[in-house]
Amino acid sequence: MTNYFISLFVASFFLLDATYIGQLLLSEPIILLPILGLLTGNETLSFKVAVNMEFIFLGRLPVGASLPPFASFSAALFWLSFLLMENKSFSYIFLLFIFSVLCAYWGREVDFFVRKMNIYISRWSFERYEKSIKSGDYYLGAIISIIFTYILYAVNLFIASHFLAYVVKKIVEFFPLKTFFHFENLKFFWITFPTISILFLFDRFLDKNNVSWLHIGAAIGFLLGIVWVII
Amino acid sequence: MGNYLIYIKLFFMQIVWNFKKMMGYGLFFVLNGSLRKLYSKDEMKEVIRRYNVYFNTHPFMASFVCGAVLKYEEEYAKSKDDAILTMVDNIKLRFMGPLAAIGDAFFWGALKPFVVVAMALFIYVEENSSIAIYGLAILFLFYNFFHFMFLVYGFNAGYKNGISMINVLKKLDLPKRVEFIRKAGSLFIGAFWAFNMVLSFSKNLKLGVILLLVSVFITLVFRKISNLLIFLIILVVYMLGGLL
Repeated sequence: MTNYFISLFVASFFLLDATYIGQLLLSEPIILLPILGLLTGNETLSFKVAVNMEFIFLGRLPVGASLPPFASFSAALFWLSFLLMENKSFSYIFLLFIFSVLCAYWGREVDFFVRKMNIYISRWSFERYEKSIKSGDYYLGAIISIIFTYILYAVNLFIASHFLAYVVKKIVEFFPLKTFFHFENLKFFWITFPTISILFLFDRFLDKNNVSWLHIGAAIGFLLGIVWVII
Repeated sequence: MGNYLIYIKLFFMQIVWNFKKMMGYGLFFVLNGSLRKLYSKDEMKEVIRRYNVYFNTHPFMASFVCGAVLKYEEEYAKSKDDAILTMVDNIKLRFMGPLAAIGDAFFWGALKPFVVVAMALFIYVEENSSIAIYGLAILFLFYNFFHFMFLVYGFNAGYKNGISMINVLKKLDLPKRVEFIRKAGSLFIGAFWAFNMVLSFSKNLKLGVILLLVSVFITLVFRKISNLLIFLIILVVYMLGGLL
């Protein structure tokens, strides 16, 4: 449980990086999950999940006032639920991964609520500051907003992780998953998904001018792959 | 010291981000300390009212606006010329849209995906080794060094040039840099994909063939499909694989 609470406090703090503080990439699944993995001692799994989760959400940009699904919330949620589960076999992990990805929409709703609450905090801060002309009154709004957001993330992650760990456990217990899932092949999922999903970045990077760069890259990757397999 | 504190505060540009004023709170959060030195307590009331408004742009590009606004605020505090005050509002209104567009294209659309794909490559290749951690750390530091330098550069450029910062932006020529990153990104995508294909073929011939076919199909037919959808498609394929 110590690992769980350390991860909960760290993850909730790093989630603030997504919008409100820094934007240093700390909240990206590719950074957040390896950090949690290193903290709690299962970095191999955290790396695999990080790559897959990052690729799922990479194309969704927070442009203007748009609120894409909260990838960092999913990443933190996956790890917390994983720590809660007693059975850490692949079927559990895989189901957890799917549900965590879908919970990005839960995270988005939490963020939506924070941004609505911030309307009142902002108004309150400006009014207080205008009356007192003490900077402390203005900064107090920022501190309240950050603490409030942090607690909200932590509470939601706590509830969601317990809920998810319970649901996954029940699903595996009650449904004959082995008749639906080909577990041996599912292990290749960690290779399949990044390989295919990276192709969707073509739209972002590729145009007529840099097709040749893609070909050069493919040649390098091909050679590196052969060397890698031989070694 | 004052400027150093502003550089740090630029990381808090989106603090108390909300649907009504968006980054309005953050802009004043960054500038408040400097403005307090320029105006008396009575004048501050008017200043607070002026800043309790809507403002939104890309968080990294906002440093340009902060610098320029502070420059004109300093001029206004000395001269009390209303034309300068209008300039403060104009800077915010005129620049927030274009800067947001440039920032979104450069940072969110090119640099961030490029760094993240490079990170993924490190982790993927060296999943159980300290090399992966070093790779992550180096790329993380690279991105944030660039991020921090850009904030400092943007603030100084805005402060020095005011409304003429548009010339600085032209000189920076970020769209051209986007092109460079896109080329490097294409190189990475090609390398990552080919590397994975070789790896898949070596692990399981059937898997390799399926991946190759799906890749060709996606690149030729389904270029606009979302990642989340393909995730579900792969899942269904696997489920059927289990049933067959």
